[in-house]
Amino acid sequence: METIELGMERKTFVATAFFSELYEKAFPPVAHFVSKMNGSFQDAKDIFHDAMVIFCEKTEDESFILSTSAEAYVTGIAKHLWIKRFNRDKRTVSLDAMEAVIVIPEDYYPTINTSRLLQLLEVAGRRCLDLLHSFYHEKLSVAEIKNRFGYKTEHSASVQKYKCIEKIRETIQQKAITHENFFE
Amino acid sequence: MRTSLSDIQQIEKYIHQELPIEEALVFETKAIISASLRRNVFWQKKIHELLRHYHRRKLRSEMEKIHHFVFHDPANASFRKNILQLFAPNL
Repeated sequence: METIELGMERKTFVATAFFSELYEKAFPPVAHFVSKMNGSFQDAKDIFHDAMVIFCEKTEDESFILSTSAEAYVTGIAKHLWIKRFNRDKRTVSLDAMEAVIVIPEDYYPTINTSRLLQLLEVAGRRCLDLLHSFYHEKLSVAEIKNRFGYKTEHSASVQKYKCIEKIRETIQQKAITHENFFE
Repeated sequence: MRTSLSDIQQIEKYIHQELPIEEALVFETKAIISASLRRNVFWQKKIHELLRHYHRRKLRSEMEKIHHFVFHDPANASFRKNILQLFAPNL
């Protein structure tokens, strides 16, 4: 079983040598698989990047236990993504016992409306998105957020989190009102 | 902190299951009688869903950076060649 020291690296994990090395180790088996399934280089790259993103997400969950090598796990995720993305019959893809139990997020590919909403927020509320992202996903401390975003006090940074939630909520509510069927 | 922000803080604690059981029950009772509270819980969950997708976009853009580095570093020429050869008939 491979041990990964992710704890202290979590905040900047993608930038670590670990993920660069994993990229070089895991891309060849995924490319082999996609090539065997008659996919293109672009398909292989897309599926592989998505598999790496899902792997990153899984490692952010403290209860996640990696019971095989990271590259084998990423390849397993890629196979599931191939089935999901191209609506392939599971029986056409051979999954070993480890791969068969991998679960990928149901909502990994956003709906069109979610993508549109995110695009809107990236234009109209980027700073708030970044601030909330720092809190919830990068898991920065209030002190780090205060410094990164230039607030005078930690209290201001904490309050800003709630102000940003309020601002984003208003923006997406407004979008829902003007586009009645937005969240169907 | 003004009331509307305190409400957001309370919803956040509820969503993240950080409220003590008694407070969670009181919150749920309030939600039964307040449509506005129910709506706000819905939107706050929606924000977290959007943030999840935003996080994925950021990670994906990091993958692009690694890809660029790996595929354009002269030291990785043979790696690149081996990968591209797999798709030679399709390129």
